[in-house]
Amino acid sequence: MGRMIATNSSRPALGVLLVGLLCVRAAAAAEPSIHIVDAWARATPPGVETGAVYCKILNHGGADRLVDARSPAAHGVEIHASVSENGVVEMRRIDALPVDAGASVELAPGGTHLMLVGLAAPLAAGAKVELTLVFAVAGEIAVEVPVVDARAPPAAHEHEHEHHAQ
Amino acid sequence: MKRAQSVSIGIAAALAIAVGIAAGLWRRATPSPPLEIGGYALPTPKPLGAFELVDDRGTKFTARDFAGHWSFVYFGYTYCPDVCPLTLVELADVKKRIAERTPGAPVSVYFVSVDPRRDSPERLHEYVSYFDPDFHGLTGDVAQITALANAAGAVFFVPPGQDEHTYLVSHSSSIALLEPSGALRAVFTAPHDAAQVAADFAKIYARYGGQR
Repeated sequence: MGRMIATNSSRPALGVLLVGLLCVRAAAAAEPSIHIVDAWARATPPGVETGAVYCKILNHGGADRLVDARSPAAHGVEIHASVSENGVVEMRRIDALPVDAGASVELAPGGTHLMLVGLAAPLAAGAKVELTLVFAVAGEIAVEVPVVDARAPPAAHEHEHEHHAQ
Repeated sequence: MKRAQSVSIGIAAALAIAVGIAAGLWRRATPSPPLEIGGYALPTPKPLGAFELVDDRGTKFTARDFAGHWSFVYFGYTYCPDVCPLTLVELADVKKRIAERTPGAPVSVYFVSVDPRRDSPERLHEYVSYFDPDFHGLTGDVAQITALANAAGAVFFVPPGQDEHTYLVSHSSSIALLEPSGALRAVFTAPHDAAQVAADFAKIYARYGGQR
């Protein structure tokens, strides 16, 4: 945008008009303050009733909290943290996950994750899981989560990136 | 004069020998520095003691069945969606890396259930085979699992106040390494990195691999 203004500096009126139009467009789009990126679900072994979803929560707005989650793929979705203390790993249920203003929170293997409890069917690699995250301020955010076979080397993971409009 | 000189040489020689012997004794009495690994290697392996479990094919499994190969032993449960799959993926990678790096070493991987109420042999078989067709699952009575876990330096417990169907189990995140005699030789502490564990195993195998 800075470059655009610079190239149009010889015609200030047009530059101002363009900037004005862009501002109007941005306001009209009302960009959500919370973005979910790099979401993936671990493909599950046969017979297993639980699954895990990982993602990054980017907060471009004020302080918020992830307070709930649900998915048609599971009986329930819980916010969990794998906590390691004295060599013992314990999963703890979290009622609300704070996301500070302008901060990002990463849900990653071995740490905070969304636990899918009571899977309707095993999660097969290549499938998608519909997931709704509920934030205290931003409200509900629907995410389509690709199921990834995590047995492959990490470099081979194909995480879905959110594409931002140019 | 000459005599005095030879006496002093004799004393010096005797002293040198005495110091040498003392140093040798001291070295024998003092443990050599342990191998530096991501965890700890026991200079003297620790036998596991008796236990009786059942493997993922429904066959009786006792301490004797750990003999003849190196065993990586991890304690977890199939209901665990995060840390257990993560560790088993690493262990599958460890096994592959050891096959390339230390091809002479026979290695087996065991996933011991800390949740026998939900983990039947059938369920364990489906679960461990998913990560590697050669992985073994072990389950059985809580008391027998506890005997093996404690001997391998691991603990587990069910935190109170949970639903009887969806309860979670807390468990050690370490991986035990048994030598071919069946005794505990090393414990790898989390977080586990397959390249690190395979490199540590190569060190352990180089120092203790020839012993029985």
